[in-house]
Amino acid sequence: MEPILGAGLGEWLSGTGPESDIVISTRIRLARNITGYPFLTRIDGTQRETLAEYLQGKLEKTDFDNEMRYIKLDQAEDLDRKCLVERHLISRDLEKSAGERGVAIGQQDTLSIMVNEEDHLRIQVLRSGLQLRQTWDQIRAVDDQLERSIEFAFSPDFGYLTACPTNVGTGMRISVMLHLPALVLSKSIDKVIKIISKIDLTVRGFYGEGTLASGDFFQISNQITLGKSEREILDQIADHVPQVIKTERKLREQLLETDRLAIEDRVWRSFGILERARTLTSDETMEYLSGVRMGVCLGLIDCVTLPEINELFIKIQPAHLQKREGEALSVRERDALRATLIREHLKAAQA
Amino acid sequence: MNINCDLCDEFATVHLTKIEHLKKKRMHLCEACAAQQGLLSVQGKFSVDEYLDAIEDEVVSSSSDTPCPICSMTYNTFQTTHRLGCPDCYEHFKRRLQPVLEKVHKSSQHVGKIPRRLSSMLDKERLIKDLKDEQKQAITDENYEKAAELRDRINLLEQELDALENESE
Repeated sequence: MEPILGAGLGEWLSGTGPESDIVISTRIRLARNITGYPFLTRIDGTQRETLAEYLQGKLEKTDFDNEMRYIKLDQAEDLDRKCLVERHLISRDLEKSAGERGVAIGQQDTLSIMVNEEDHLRIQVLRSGLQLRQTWDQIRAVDDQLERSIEFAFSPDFGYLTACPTNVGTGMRISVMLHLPALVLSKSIDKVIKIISKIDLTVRGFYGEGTLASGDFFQISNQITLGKSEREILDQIADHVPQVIKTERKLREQLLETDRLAIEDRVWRSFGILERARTLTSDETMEYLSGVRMGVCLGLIDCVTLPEINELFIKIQPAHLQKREGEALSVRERDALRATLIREHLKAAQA
Repeated sequence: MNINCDLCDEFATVHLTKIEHLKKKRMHLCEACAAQQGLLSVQGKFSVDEYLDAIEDEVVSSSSDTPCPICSMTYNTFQTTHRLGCPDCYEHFKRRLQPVLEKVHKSSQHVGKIPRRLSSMLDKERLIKDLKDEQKQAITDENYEKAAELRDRINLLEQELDALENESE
């Protein structure tokens, strides 16, 4: 049987896109529902099954110009589902919910389509660096392709109809994931978040709400999905995110100039602990990896590459660790395994 | 079975059903009492239109209080869960959703992408509306030649629209 998890960790972690020193990834998600069925809030067991089968059939027959594999999540192992969440391919919601549901994933994890989450379909394109135009072009083509064989629930007044009114209209959520260690270090991050919130954009952490500042990662997303065209929403993000990028980059330079010692200490202290510790909690690892990542981007560390660091952020997550061992582990065991994994990786990198 | 008039004891020939506060009220009247109640038009024949006009306001304002006819979700449930039940809920709860949408999105009108199957219909509808506005203006300006021209264009577009609507059914 084909393994559920792909061998590699997705193009979006490759660090090859524009502005990759600061922008991890660009993500656009479209929420779509089909006519003739209630939303998942109101659906009964039989309808759920029929809907999942119907959508799976349609997805398998659609030509996405991309080899897709469909995973029936209700039949998958718990650890595999959790790993997909950690890879940003499915939501925590879809992982935890019950009943027929699935996800279609394309090459290099760029395109993924969730089935039977809060909406019937949640289409996602995830690319490395800042690639707003390309990501939109790709997802729009997917939407166009899908609507040739699927009738989406749509009203001229309210647009694409979604279970939650906060998504109605374009059904589009754009998120750009930024790494902002200098802004955090100089304690300016709160100011930036305030400014961004004033213009109807939201800021969340690495895995969404409630994970703010983990690893110094911040996702900036649009809040409004109705009353603006997709182009207007894209432009809004395109207008404001570069300001944040510029600010972070300038700040990094400034800190190197005015207090190089402090930066180097942060970077090398992080590296040192990762290199030698025997147990590492999830939280502190995110912190140290962030320091090392900054070091790599500033040219202070050259034994580790950017894609390697990006991937480590995923590999040290709890489900990924347990998947390596092939079994569930206690927190202590995970902390020990995490440390071992990183030590070995850094040793190999320096060899 | 013979039913007697609610107001006098004559034989009832006018039967009315009224929907008031989610309850059906049935009234049975003879022609004389119905006329007295103002429920018959001048010719003495029962006018459905007049009656419907009278109850329309009531029906519109109470429809948002009724459950969605397709999925039976109530607005109360939406208020607690913040999730609607089915695509038809949007139309059914339109009046109550509009202020909610205004609050969240500062708008309640979609201006973005349209599914291809609907785009030519919606484009035609928008064009017809614009032409009708122009036509009104032409009549006000007493430019009857222009108004006639516009009338012909509108008729043509409406025919095309009908054809498209029949096609998609």
